[in-house]
Amino acid sequence: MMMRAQDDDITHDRSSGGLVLPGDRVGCVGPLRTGNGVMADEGDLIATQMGILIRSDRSVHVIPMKGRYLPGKGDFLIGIVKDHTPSRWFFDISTPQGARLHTSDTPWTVDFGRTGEYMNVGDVAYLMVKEVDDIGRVDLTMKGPGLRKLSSGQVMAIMPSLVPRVIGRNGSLIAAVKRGTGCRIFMGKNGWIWVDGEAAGIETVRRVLDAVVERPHVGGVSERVLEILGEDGGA
Amino acid sequence: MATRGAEQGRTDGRSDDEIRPVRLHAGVLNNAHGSAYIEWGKNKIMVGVYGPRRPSRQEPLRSDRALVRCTYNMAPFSVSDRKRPGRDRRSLEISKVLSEALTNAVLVERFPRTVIDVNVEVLEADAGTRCAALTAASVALADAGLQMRGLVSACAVGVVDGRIVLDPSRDEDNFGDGDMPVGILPSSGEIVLLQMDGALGPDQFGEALDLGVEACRRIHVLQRDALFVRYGQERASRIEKPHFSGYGDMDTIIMDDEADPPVWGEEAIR
Amino acid sequence: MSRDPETIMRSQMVRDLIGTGRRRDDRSLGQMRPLVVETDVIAQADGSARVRLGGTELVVGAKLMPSSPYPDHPDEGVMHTGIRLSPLASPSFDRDMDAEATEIARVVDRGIRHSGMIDMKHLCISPGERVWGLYLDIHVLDHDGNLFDASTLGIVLSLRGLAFPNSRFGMGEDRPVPLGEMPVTLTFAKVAGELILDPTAEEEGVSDGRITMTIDPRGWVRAVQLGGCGHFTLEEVKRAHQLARSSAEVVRGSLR
Repeated sequence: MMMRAQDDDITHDRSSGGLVLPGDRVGCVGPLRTGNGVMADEGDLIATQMGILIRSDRSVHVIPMKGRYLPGKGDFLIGIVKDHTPSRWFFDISTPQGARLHTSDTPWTVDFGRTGEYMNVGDVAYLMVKEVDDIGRVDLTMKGPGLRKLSSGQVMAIMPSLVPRVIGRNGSLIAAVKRGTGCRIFMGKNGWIWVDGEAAGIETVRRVLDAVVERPHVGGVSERVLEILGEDGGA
Repeated sequence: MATRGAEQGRTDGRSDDEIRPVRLHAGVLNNAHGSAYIEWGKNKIMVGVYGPRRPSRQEPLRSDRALVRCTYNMAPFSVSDRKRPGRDRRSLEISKVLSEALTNAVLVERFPRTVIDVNVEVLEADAGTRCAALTAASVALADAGLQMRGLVSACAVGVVDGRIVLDPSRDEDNFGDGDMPVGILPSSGEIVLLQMDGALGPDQFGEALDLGVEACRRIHVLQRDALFVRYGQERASRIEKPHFSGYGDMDTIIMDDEADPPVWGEEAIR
Repeated sequence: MSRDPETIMRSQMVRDLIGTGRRRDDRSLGQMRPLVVETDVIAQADGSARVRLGGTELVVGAKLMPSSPYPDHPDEGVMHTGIRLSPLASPSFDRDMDAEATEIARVVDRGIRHSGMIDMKHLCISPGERVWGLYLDIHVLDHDGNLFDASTLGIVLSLRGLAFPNSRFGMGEDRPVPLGEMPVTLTFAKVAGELILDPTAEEEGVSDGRITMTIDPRGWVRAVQLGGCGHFTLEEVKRAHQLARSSAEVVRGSLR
């Protein structure tokens, strides 16, 4: 019982957004579900990633301070065309190697050599990772619900680890932002976010992202976001 | 802690179990995914981490885990006589032992078929570079947001005139009887770096090892402080401006050898 | 520290912006990035400097070692300039960078050598037998473009504190190395038909060529290098020369 009481003390201290480092003990193995950045190690739960510890009654996890996007099959992401060949486009997807999209993985019937007429360097698209092969080459697809070329608009970037934070539970937060700003928004798992709409709306989206990026660990992210939407909506 | 050997003294006036001043910064480079800069005595070392990533060269990758690839390099101006640029046997060996020590710290099985590059640039060398490099490298890995079992902390133990001394200086390294770099994972206590050359008596070996491990725990406090300061949750005991300054508004941590270092495992539970 | 969501600029947008006379970091086209310098940073070197030009950061260490003269210049010291493009400085340095490194080192070396900042005759110890070898080693730690200008700055600053290490080699007291006037290297990238000074890595990436000029205090040109797979018109080169001369004065003034 004594041990538990002590544990609860840390819980209290650290669930308010304490920084933990790899190797830090964050509790005992028990009823808590472990999420990202926490693992069991001989009865103890230890943090495995530098970030903000989040504990609820049921689970414990770490929101990373930093982290890299590694493409995984099925990821939805934003890509920017950086080159094309007669049958393929090459996309920048924020990773050093980039990714490729074959004409047969698009909703269009593209004649050989006419890829540039459909998408050219600098164009943006909402895509899905179709396959990552053994040596890390990424194949994309544009066949699927919602996948498409995105005209106009602009691309903003946040840390990939914060994307779920912006989306919110069951997409509630991002839905509120879309409603509040009237902007069209596509979120990529690679941390790239495509936004289009009125200039004022885009600015509000930027402020919302700012609020999440600046203090991702502080509770009430949704409240802060709704506040921003309220202010700007009224103006 | 008793100060031993004070009557004989060391060339730089330290007590036998005293570490040279250590300053450590986390997150100092723009491009590297994670970075750390350490000044340990007169050693000045920059570490930059890239990864996990797919290498642009063809590499034999592991299908079950990431490859931690440490490259230790000394600047030509880092030592008294200009060092010829490029790799040599010493830097290759150090690169290998550092790669292996760090592989123990990183959860490499989470990133199959990738490479994690740890680039160590020694700008000035003054004995104990591999321990300083390892200490900074694990901070850079944490700074890169990598998943790890814990940080790696390191410190060397030396033998001078038959006495065991902590963190030998260049003179003590050159003219001493032995040098033993020790690196541990403080979170589990496992030893991940251990080398030795010279002469250690049957009774001395265990004593030297104990002293080294204890020193690593002191270094661990500094590593934590560097990351806490960098990420806005300051808990450093003493803060001072760095000599090699200019990392934005960053302050540096100075090792406070007088104060009893808190034992982290316990403090975290308290 | 601000961690604003960054706007991803596509290369066309970067070019378009420059076409309207603006740059992403709000500089004018002929403006250098903020420069932060620190000298005597490496105790083991005979002269050293650390330079941060915007997001580009490097350390230069100068070392003097007794050496043999070249037979055709028996009374002159020898000078060697080297650069390490450490893989920690950029994700793009994860490959063989020998060609890039050699070009930078040689261009920077020519500018320093021909500016006469160091009179090689001052580096002579005993004609035909022993001279000083001056080793200038550049160590790049963070790469955000324009390594040429930052390297020359680093070398010039490291030379300012240079002393003959006589005592280290049993040759009496250390004494300062006499120095001439300092050269300044200026690099322009050609983007959207405009010449932009001190390009960032992103700007270099979208550029149609690069021209580097080293200018001495009298306004004389001491080294030139065209690079980056581009071509310049005669007018562009002449304009680069004019801009380099005026910019060199600005840089020189700020370092006084």
